[in-house]
Amino acid sequence: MHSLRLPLIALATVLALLLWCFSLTGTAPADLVIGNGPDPRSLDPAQAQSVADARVLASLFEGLVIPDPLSGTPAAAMAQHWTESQDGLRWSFTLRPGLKWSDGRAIDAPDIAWSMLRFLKPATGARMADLLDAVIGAEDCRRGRGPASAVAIEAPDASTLIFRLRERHPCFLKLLAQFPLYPVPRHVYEKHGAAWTSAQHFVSNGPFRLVHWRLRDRIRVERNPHWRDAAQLPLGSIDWRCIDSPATLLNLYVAGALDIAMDVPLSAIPALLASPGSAPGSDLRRHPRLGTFFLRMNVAQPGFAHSAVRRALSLVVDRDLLCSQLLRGGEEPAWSFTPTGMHCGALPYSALRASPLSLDEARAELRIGLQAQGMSTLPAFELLHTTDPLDSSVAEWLQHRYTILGVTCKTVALDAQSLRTRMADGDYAMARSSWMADYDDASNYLECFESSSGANRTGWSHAPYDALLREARSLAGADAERAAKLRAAEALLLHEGPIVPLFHYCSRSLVQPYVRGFEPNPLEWLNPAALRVQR
Amino acid sequence: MEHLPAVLLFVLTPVVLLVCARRSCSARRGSLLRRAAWLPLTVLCVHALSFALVHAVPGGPFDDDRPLAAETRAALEARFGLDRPAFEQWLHAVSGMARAEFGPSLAHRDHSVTEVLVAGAPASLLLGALALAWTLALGIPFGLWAALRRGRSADLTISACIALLLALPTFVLTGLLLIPLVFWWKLLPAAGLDQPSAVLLPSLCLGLPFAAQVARLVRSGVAEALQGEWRRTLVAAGLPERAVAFAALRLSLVSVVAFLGNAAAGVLTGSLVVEQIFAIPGLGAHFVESALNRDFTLALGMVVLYTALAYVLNWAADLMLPVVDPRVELS
Repeated sequence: MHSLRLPLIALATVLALLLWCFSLTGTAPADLVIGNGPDPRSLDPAQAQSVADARVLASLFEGLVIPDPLSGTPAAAMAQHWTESQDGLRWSFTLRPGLKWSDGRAIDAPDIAWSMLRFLKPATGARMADLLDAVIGAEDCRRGRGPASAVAIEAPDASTLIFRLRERHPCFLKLLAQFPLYPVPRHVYEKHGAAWTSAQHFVSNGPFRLVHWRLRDRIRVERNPHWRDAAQLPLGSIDWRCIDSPATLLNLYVAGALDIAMDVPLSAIPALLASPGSAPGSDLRRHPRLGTFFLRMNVAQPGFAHSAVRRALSLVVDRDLLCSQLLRGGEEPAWSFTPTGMHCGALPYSALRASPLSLDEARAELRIGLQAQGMSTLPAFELLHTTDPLDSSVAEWLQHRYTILGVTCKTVALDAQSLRTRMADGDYAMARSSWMADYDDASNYLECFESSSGANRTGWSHAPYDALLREARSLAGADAERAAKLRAAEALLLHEGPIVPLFHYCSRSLVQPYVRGFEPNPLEWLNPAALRVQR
Repeated sequence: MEHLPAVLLFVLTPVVLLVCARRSCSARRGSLLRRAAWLPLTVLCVHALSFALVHAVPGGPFDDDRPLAAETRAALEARFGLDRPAFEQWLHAVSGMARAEFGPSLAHRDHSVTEVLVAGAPASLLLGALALAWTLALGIPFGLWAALRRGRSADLTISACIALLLALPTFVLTGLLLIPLVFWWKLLPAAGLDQPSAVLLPSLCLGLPFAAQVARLVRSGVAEALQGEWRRTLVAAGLPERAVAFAALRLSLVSVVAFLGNAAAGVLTGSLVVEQIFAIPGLGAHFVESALNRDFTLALGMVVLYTALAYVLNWAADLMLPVVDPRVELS
């Protein structure tokens, strides 16, 4: 018996361990289960990063204004109404009465002003801290050159918030609707510091409040009884499933474990489209997204300095073929950098299209560009891309395409961080890139390639382009004139610039027929307060 | 004082254990003490090497498509201690490790590394334990069956299955099982851990390649034993065929137990694909993603955890060897 004691203890330990593990399985489903994407980087709005993060945050927080799910224009949220001064330099917001945090404490204007100032401070580490640069003193504050007290965000009383701008901004209201500017509870932050986002301390002001967050599994939120319109909320709880594989999202959706899948694998689209009359094909929702997949070229690399060479490398790419034969997911061929459906202020913005495909013209441009640089052939170059399967197939397709010009292109797969580092260091000739709109305005796209922009990373600096963007900024409030300047700038970018737009993204989601309130949206914005289930 | 726990764990403890091992009169106890002494030293060496590697790769945790302002980057680096000299960072990390604190995760900003590990451990342990159970439950009987019917159709079929399971990538094997069991016959959930039965299929997918290896070991071990003089002696002594077969099986288990140490570590570290396909909230995905995201602290935490686990599991397998075959001596 003595010799059996040790194995028995070991067996009992293993069984106890397994029982403990099993006890952690089993969670009753929420009213609505949404397959969202990877875990948010943080539930602190300033630290959050992706569109998937923004969707979760939209259930927990609301800003002064929120984008209307249908039109994308800012609509009243915490702010009941607002006024803009004649010169556009002073914005005054009046808060709704009776606003409360999810712990029942009242929200007042000084709370929101404090939250905005916290967002600006470098110590917060906000990724998009430049959102408020239009506000007097904000840029100095975020760069650590000026005090927070010099930032012109004032709360003269408990319900009024005033922003003073250094120059008129065409999209200031759209900026305020951005998720990084959601208010943070000062009383919780001052008590718990960075730990304020842990589930036991978390306090927010949106339609739902946090119940728990299991990494790589789900974020459970439940109705916030202190929200301004809590009685009208159709849903009692939502599970945001943190699943990064679109294939797993599809599996779960088909098995009935998800009500909404926010992504669908590209490879499954043809099969889904082949059965439009039956689920899950009938549940597929596709709509254009404000996002562009493009190639960056480094103008400092041998051969790439002349715009004619860059143009040749763009002209030879048949975007229609790429989208119809390789991608087949509903992506739109990109003949401009700004996506279709973009706005300039309140007006629709229609970009000038790049020259259509012309192989002869491409060859001629290449010859001109190389001759101007004293070269006879373009040196072999590397096309950097990520290890993502879509990137790899696009890169291989391009590699084949460039053989038409007699150009040798070698594809190099890197992890995303290595790719970013090589681009930031200028250690590349051509690299895959993408840009997703933060807000619906063409300037949000075109300013990426200003000489001073950190997002440029091509070495391309073109004074006329910069001047056009400066002029466009000075025309805030005159949308038609501003759109004309932006169009001219984009035409320059496409003719002279260091990019090859390939396709505009398409959102693909699966929505069960009993889910209501899911509105297709070019920013992939989701209004969780409007979602409901009618089985 | 900050470094005291580290000094105690990584310097004093091994020295004391090694001295005790030298003075021990029992060879078995001496061996145990020496293995115990080498554990913290092994972890420390692996930690140092991993620290050097993760800091040598290009890119950092704050690199993004939208470059951070220099001031914001500096503030973040100061907040996470990345602005200090590398050696100071390493010392700080070692001190934290001695207290089981690996610092904040750089990619999961609301969680410390310890929280990430604790959150993922139950699912990974459950998945790993069940995968090992499948490994043994399928590998031993099928290996024995094949050995007892060597050269016949059953043996050929099992050998073919073993070759297939070893050759198939996990995601293909998973797809082959997922489609009929989940979508055609609707026997099991597609993914997640919402119900206990949800862990059956992922653990089977994870365990099957290891079961194939165990079956191969058992088959060859038993077949070899049954061919020798040893079998003739037992049969001549009047033992029934079944008893002879079990005696041969016991002999073959030595190689199985030796393999299990590595298999257990492999099951825990190699669960990335299975965890992703079945949305299991375990540690496997963190292991790879922490490296890809340049989440230095989480990557080091994962490496330390897996090193310790691999060491302990191999040690446990070694300790089991004399139980299976008394002729084996620990030295």
